[in-house]
Amino acid sequence: MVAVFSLLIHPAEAHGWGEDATEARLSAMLGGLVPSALWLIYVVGANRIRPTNNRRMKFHGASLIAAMTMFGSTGGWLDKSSALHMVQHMLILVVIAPLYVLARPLPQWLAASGATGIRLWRPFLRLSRHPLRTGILQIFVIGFWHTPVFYNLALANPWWHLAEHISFALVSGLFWWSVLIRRTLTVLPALLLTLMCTGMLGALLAFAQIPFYNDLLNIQDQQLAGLIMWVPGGLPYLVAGGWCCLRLFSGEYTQSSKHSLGPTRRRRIEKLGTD
Amino acid sequence: MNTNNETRKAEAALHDEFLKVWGNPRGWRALTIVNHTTVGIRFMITGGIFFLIGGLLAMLMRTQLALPEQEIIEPKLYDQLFTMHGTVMMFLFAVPVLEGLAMYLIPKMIGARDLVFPRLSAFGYWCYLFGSLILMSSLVLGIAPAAGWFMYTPLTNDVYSPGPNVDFWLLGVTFIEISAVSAGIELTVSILRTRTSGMALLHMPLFCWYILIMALMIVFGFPPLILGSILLELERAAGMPFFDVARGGDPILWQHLFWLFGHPEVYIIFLPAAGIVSTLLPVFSRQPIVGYRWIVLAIISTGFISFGLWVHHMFTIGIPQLAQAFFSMASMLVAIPTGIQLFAWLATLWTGRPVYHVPMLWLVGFLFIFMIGGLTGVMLALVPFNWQVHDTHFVVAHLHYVMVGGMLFPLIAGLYYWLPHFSGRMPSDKLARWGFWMTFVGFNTTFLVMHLTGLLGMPRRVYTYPAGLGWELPNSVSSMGGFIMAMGISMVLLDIVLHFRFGRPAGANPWQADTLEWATDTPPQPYNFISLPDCPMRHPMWDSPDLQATIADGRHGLSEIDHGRRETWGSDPVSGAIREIIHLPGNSWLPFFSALALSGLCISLLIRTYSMALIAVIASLVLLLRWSWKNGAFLEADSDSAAKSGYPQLHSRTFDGPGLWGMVVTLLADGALFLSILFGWLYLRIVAPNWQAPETVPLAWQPLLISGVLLTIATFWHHFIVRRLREGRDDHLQGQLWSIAVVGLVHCGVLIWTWSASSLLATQTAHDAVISVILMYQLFHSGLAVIMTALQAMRVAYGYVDKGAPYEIAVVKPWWLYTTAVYWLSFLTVILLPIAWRSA
Repeated sequence: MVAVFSLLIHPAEAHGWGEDATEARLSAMLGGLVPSALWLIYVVGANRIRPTNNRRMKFHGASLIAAMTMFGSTGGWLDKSSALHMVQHMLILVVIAPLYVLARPLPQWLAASGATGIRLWRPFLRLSRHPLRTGILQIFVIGFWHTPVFYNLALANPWWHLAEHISFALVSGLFWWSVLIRRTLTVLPALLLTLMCTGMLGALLAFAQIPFYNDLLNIQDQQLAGLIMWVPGGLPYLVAGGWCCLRLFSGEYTQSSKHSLGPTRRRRIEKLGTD
Repeated sequence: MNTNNETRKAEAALHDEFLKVWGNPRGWRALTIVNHTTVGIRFMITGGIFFLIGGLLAMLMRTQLALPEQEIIEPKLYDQLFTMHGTVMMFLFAVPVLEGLAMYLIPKMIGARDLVFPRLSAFGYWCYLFGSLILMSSLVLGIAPAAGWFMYTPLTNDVYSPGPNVDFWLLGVTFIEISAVSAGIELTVSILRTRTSGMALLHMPLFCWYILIMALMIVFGFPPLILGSILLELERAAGMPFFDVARGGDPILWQHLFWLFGHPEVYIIFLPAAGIVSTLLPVFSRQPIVGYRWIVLAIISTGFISFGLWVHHMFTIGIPQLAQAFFSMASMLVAIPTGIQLFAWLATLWTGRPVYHVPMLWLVGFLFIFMIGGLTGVMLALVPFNWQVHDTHFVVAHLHYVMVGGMLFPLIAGLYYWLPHFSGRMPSDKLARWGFWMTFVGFNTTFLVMHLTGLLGMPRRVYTYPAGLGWELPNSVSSMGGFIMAMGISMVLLDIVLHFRFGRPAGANPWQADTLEWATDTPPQPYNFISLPDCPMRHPMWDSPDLQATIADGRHGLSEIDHGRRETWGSDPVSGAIREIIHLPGNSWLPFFSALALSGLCISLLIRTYSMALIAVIASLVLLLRWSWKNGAFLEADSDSAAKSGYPQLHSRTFDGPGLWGMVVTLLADGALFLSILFGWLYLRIVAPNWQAPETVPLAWQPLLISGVLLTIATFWHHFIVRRLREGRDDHLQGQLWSIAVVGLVHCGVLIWTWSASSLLATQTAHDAVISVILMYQLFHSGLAVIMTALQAMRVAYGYVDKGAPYEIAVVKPWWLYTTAVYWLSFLTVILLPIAWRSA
């Protein structure tokens, strides 16, 4: 599911270092076609199984943000700075992916895609039972693409860039699915681990004295990129942590939420107050 | 009347039976006690003594600073005083006392008979005591650490701090931290796995939530400093450069590691104190706390946020200005969860009918002082202001407002509140009020004025100052205030000491509290509860006031004792439904002697006699392994496995007992340490100004690959065995375990060979030094995996472990997995990453 999601946002890539412009355009077109199709599938599916308005809004909202990232990229401004590039990555990792997950578009898609779709999702759904595993997977993928060699590779070659964004969207979608939909206690350590690791990566970028990436404006640009990853990029994990707690509490624990003052206790307490 | 007498007689008989199993020995054998009540009290008393020592150091400093140009204390001694004052208050007082309180209270609050690893609590206490004594001995010998409580490099390296002063700090504090981490692990597992029947997470008293998060923060937060201390000690003793710029290190790395610990540490201290507030306020407001869930949420988010803000302690060290701006803003985030708690407290007071007993006085004092500390904290988060007052007395004033307001005041409130529980007697009202007001007035006189001293430009950590700068008046006022505060504290002390003799008997539940700890006897019996009640509610003592009687009567669960086992419930971490009976180990000399052997190691490292250190290592290893051998009391468990019909299994029959949880939480701490190593490796590589990496990685990758494959095979094999055990098959168990151990041994051999054949020069460059540390770390884990598996094979031979009692092998499983993960991660970052880097 998430793999296809990523195609939606793929055109947002910041290529521009590619030699072959046609190739770049081709990969961009591929990135543009599939998500539109996905959006279409959702609309078709939504006619068969009506989503709640809330979820529908979230889905369209996420798609809209993805589209804006896309147009922003075609305008070319994303190619000019690592910090802006980082903003784009963060949009994928901590805004678009969780929004899609919260929209829970699975019923609509499956309604439109049938048995093949179900077979396709199954392994992902199974993996999504384990927030810690998906979290570790995500950290690996994020770490991998931020090592200078692979980052610059993605800058130089639009197909690699496509792969980068697909893998980002895939793992972050999986991660957010396991965190926001599943109800296990391991959600919290998974979020903390992710927060710490992305924070450390951001810290390393923020403190680095040497430039790493080919799309840097200057060293401040790299610092800003690191800080974006570290601070605002960490916020959604914080918020998600709080949200997951609230949800954990409201689920199976509704009964204990209100403690009413029984008459005996009130009397006893009143007696105490006069002591 | 007659039946009443009979029940009382039956109660007494039951009590005697329980005491036979749970009773504490006297005399020398008191050193073997593992009971959480005793250990908790020992922690608190020891911590209290260190608080007095720390206070005495502060008094000396205030005397010296009372007037300008005094020469009572020479500068060298003054350096030792302020360093030791900070260290003692932070590491020897604040954390251990709160841990002790938690250890004392948690099992009673969650309806358990003891903490889940009683011998570990005793071990933690002895580590703390011996470590503190080692550290304090330096003060007596006049060679105490003198570089400030955060030990910044390069001041603390062997060039600028020759002599053993810094070593005392590094070794002593690390030793104490081991105790803190073990307490953290134990509290986490106890809270999650030993709550009484039906106590779901959201039924827990709020104090348990605070302690749970504090314990987890210790687990994640202490390892960076432990690593930093090990690295700095390696640099000082073995010449391996990590913080030395010339050889490719970076002193700023120390600051990162320190504040990675140091910032969470503030909350590790604050959270339990806030937990005391959230426990006491509802009781004295006669009203359940307002916004239970919101407070839980605030506690958890405080824990999260505190791991992201360490940089705001480092505004003036030359980090990029952009970073300062970001962290200045991010620092404001802390205000949200703290604000939630504050408003919940205020709302509880507002909607309740507060009664102002003595503990309430301290709580109100806390609210006032902590508020000011929070406000100056917001001021310090603003970068320009931070630069202006950096390293002045303003910072000193701020941190005392936060620490004393945020920790000491609630702690004393809690002390007064639980005093009847400790002793069965009530404190004197008059003396207690005097004590409070003198402390409160004295504190504010000292430190409110000190803000001004700082704004007037007086730097901290100077042993004296010239007259005529306008610093005389505020300094002498501060000194006077300090002495008033000292008198207040001594009045509190006097009150506490006197109450043991003159206090009127407290009776049952004197404050009409709501939580289970008041259902024990006061003072409590070593077994806490004769029978363990169901507790699917937040306020058991308010809902069923006769709980104490029915518990003592044996009318609830697990009231059998004829089997002679120490037992408590093992329950589901979320719902609190009973899963198994946990069989707790009893008194033992092993924790004491293990800690003694480790302190021998500590001392021999201090005086740098490495042959003695080797002996100490072997002695500790033997003792610890002996402990692991004797801890499984499964022979006795065997004889009476069918405890009582309708009761769940003993935990040794399951795959998911507390040991596994302990192992996993330990590995979380271990993982935090490893993550810090990786951070250090990458940080030095990227940031260190003189980073020197050789052209090729100085380790041959082929044998490393082979070694890793062997390790992976061993791990998979071990997994396979556990899976077969789950299916109830244990054929060839012993042989397979031996084979796994052999495969693991070959893996270690190949690794050692590769290391010895490499051209690593650990004392020449930071690059080689870090790789050596990673190799040591790996070998430690691999070696321990081999030893544990071999021990398991022997236990199978003895018949302690089989398909009927498969529990222990399942405990070792995560260790293998972790060791393998660490191996491949290290391979990735040490061997593969540089190749990718170079080709970039």
